[in-house]
Amino acid sequence: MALSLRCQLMGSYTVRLLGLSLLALALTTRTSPACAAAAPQVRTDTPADRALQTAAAFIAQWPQQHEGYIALAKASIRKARESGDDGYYQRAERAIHRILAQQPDASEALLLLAWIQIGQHQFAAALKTAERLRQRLPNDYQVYGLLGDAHAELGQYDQTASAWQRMIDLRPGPAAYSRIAYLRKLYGDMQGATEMMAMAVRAVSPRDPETYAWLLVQYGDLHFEQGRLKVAEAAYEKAHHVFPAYHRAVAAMARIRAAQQRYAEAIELYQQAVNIVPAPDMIAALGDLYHLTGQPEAAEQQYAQVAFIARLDTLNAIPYSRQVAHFYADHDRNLDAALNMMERERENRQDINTYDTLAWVYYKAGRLNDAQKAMQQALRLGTQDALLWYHAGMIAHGLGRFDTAQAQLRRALDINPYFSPLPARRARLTLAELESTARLQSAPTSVSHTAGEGS
Amino acid sequence: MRTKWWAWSFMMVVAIGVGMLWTPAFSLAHPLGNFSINHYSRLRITPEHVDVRYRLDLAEIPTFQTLQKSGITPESGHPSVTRYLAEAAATFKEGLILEIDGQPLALRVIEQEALFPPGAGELPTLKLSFLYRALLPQNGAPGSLRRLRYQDENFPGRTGWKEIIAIPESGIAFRQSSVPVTDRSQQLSHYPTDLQQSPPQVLDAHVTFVSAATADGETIASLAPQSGDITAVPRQPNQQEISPPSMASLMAPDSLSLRVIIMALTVAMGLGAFHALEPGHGKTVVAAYLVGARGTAQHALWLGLIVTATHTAGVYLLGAVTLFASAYIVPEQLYPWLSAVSGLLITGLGIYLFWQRYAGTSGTYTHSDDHVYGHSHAHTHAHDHVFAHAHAHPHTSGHHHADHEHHGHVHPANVTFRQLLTLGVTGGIVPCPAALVVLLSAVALQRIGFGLLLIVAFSTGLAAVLIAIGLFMVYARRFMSHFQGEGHLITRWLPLTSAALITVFGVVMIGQALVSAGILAFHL
Repeated sequence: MALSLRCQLMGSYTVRLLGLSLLALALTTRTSPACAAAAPQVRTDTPADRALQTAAAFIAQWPQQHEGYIALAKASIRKARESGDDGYYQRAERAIHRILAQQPDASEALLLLAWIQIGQHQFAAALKTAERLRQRLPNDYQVYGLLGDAHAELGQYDQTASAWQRMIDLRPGPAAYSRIAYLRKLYGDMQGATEMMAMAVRAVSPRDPETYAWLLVQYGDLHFEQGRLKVAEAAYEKAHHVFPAYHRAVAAMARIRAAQQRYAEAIELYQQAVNIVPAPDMIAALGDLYHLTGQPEAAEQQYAQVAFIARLDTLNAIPYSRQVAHFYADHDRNLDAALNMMERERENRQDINTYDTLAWVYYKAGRLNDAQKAMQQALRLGTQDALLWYHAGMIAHGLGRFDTAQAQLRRALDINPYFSPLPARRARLTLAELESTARLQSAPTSVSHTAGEGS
Repeated sequence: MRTKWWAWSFMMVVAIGVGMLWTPAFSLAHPLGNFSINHYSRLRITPEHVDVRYRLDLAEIPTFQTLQKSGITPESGHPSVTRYLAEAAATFKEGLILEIDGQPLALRVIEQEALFPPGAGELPTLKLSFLYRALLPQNGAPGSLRRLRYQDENFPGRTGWKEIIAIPESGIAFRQSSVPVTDRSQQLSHYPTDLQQSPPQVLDAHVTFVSAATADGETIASLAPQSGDITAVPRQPNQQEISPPSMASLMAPDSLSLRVIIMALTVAMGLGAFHALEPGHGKTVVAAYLVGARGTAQHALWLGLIVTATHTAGVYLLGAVTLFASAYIVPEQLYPWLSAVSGLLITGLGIYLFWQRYAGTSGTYTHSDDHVYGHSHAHTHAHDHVFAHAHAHPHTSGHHHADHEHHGHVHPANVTFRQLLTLGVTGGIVPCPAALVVLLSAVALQRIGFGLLLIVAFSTGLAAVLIAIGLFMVYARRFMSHFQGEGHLITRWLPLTSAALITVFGVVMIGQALVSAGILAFHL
């Protein structure tokens, strides 16, 4: 029996070898004799692309080594961030699960898993992973970064603050600075946030152009949100320079042009951005500009695209409800669907922006008391965001609390008079109407108001 | 009728097994997200011209945008599509740069095609295929070095699978090329999903080549499509998503020449034949059964075919399972377990056969001619002994033939299709590492279609040998039967022995699997 077993094994090895050489023959016959590097090349790939190729080559060579999968996951996450393509998060996830299947406690893999979970908006799961990691790596600054990220999306801002404080104590650097800047912004300290973000921009390595460009856009956004268009524009220009074809920089620049009422340029820039990544918020902004410039058909085309993406996202269970729901509320369409989306989103995410969008959808759906409650949640940190105060003002207006409405709308326009073309216009009109009513009201013969009117 | 029913259900099992490889559960339609635009360019350089096969595969969102902008009806061949294609061919041409020795070449549209395969939620996606051609300027001495540069500037910055290949046709030799000659996505019809294959991001190509065959200005460019493959446009939607594709479409016809394919298939067939002769394979069962029972030539043929079909399906299935499971575990660790499972299965079948034969010996095998096998076995332990006897007594064949048919009518239940099926499956189900390795290597090397075809050729070789052995057994026994007595003891023992052997074989397989899984340790 042993002999026949041996024979069988030997036989199958012979066949195996022959089979492989046969394949090799078939595969290599037509390969060109020399494939060395040719004439100077134009680089169309990014550092993330090159990292991806290297990781793939490593895996091909040593499929049993974890290093290759870690490198692949890291490169995929980078690529997902720069391209806006979720497909890369899925690749990263597969690489990580391959490691975790063999070694469920591999710290580096868990760290990347938490990162992917945040990227895919699985915040509760990310928090769990990060908590698990903290047990294992109590002195790793990255763990506290991710821990704070997850807490922030879940609206647990005290925990966010302590996690990020620990992070910056362990390792000061652009990753910690940008997070602290975000936290300061949330608490309404725009000045401190801007300073911190400037530190992050100065500290980042130029060898990571995508992160550099991302920080520059964040920095520019902080200035834009305070109505300082020139500084913001310079930051976006620089971002575009360090990382060409960066859709976030292009869209940010489009927003500046729209604020400057240079609509034709804004439209062109938005078109560029949307051609790179058709993100629903950018398509909606482009539609609004068409609408503003009297091109309703072009506007409707963009709006139809947003609706299409919403449908596709539902099919693929991609959790980007907030952008879509916000769009529906802005345009008074599909309000039932928007409400449904946001009520589900609130289960997943309890940060102030989720409450803001939820409040806006409630307001449009006519549920003003719910809207006000949600809005109180959104404003609980005292964030100086024009859009938030605009929403709050409109809700107060709907509830007939005209003084509050007036104050809040004025506050929105004071924070940033350019915050968004259509809402800013609506804010001004409503404010003007309120002020004229207030003047009438202060006159001896007062005019009574009907609650819920206007909007 | 009964036979037909079994045959059909068996075919169904095979078809489902093969079809399993292509269920959407295995992969997505596109390698990236639903706004990706995938690019593919195949440069084919001949002494007269450069052909650019340009393909774009648009995911759901860009497809929606295209439909919206162009207002076309998403059906291939619809007049609106024809109009759109003419425009698109011209638009995309503007985004393609082709230069020879720094001199830009004008591209001419030769053909254009659009397909609308369904994507997520049956929403359409769009696949465009264009063939552009540029005449190669005939200046420079024959044999002089020429430089080609190609760049694709369409949809800059949009995420996607971006692949370029360049192929030298006869009369052209590449000196250097920045791109490969074979593609990884089968012209965007089949994106590899394993982690070693990250989506390529190649949008330009540099090739230096020499033209060897330009003799005395004889070769003036002809614009008519010359070879069949220029017009061959795969019409299938992405195979990951759609019903089982045909073998022909799975292959990448442009990167493997017919000669190489025929050679490879021939070698694979030879390997299959060789494989069938390996000890311990299905042929043991075939031979044991045909000699042990009252088999006819037709039975031998059926048995050979069933073994082969089971074997092929087994390899495909095991390949599919391995590929699927390899996302979670390492194949090297998986294989022993699969072997153990098959071993268990075979042991079970062996025990079942043993029991069946033990219970049915008196009835079924009373008049069978098993002693021929038994006789040779007893004396020499060599199967060839049977053939030697056969050659020694060729003159009895006619007589026996009639005799056998008589038996067939008297005991029609001796060989049922059900028994053939059981045996064939038992013999064929043994997972065959060689064939599996060929298949998995093909998958790893992005030649799944070719790998599947190789397995078919492999199995054909296997079938040929198994059928030949079966026929030998059948005829050899007929030659012999009339001269040997019908010993009841041997008649009873032989089928039991063969069933026992099958059982032992299964047990050995389990043991072997457990040893390689590191659970059992033997010191021989």
